[in-house]
Amino acid sequence: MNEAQEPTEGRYLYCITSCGGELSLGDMGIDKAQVYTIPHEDIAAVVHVCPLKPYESKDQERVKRWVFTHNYVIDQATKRFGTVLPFSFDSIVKGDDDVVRGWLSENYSRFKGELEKLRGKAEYTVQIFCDASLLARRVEKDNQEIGKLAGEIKVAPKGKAHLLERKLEKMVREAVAAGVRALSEKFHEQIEKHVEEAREEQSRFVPDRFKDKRLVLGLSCLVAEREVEKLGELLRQINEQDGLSVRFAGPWAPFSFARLTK
Amino acid sequence: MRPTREYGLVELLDKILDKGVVLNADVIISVAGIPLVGVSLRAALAGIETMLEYGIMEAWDESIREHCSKELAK
Repeated sequence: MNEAQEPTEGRYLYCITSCGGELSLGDMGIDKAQVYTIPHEDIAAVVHVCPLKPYESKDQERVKRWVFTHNYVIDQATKRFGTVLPFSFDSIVKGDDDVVRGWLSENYSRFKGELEKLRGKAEYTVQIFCDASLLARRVEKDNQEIGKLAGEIKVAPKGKAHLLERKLEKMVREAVAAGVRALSEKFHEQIEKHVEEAREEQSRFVPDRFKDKRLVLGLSCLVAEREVEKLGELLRQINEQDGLSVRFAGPWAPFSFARLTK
Repeated sequence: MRPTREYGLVELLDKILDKGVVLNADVIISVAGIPLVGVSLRAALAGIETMLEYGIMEAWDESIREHCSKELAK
């Protein structure tokens, strides 16, 4: 290929995987594209041929299909080849197979190193929720200062009572918040024992069954296969505690943990 | 407790738009020395922001359900 020429085609990147061969994975790609591997030594890029522009659309249904497909291909590659380095949606290389091959070659030790680091591991979501009103009731019962204030409110004249109620609400809110923070630290510590890495996440996604609950702790965790059961057992115990519920989801490809360090 | 394979759209978007080897950047020029098509990931997918804002857990599409059940059967 004449390197001075501008490329006329692109390669849509799904992931990098441990695989030494040129394989076709069929038409499982975005918009039914043919997905295949471009190998270099014992690693490969999983790609499909695409035009030199990003996939963009205002059509929500189309976009949803694309993103599910992107993840589906990554999952299939994982099933076939083990842990992969997943790419963000719309990672498109300017060039052809040779360009991709050259890139794999230049960065071989980087990719290989990261693949080895992530071998046998996957990403899981752990979210622990609490019933905030249950915590509030507990706090109202056990906290002496709050109990005393509640007593004062009962005998106070209307105007003063109103002000004191505000104060009580504030105290309860703060006590619940402190309680949640303490739980969060405790659980984080317990979970750390079973995971390689954990990242705290502010989750925007919460299934319906947790909608009325308060998030105590949200983590993306990198977990080795052999630890998944032990982590599950810990989470089961937490889930059984009064007022607490746990969401444990995965496995995902290690989106939060795959890094290309210089 | 066994992990569940839920595919909430927002959670998926959070991972494949903002994470992965190519991290979210307004214009991605190159990663590890390879030329990439420059794209603002969020602008490219107009309508994504709305979905993210409202945290919509979308009902499953038949073809997506099919995809996933094929996957689970393997």
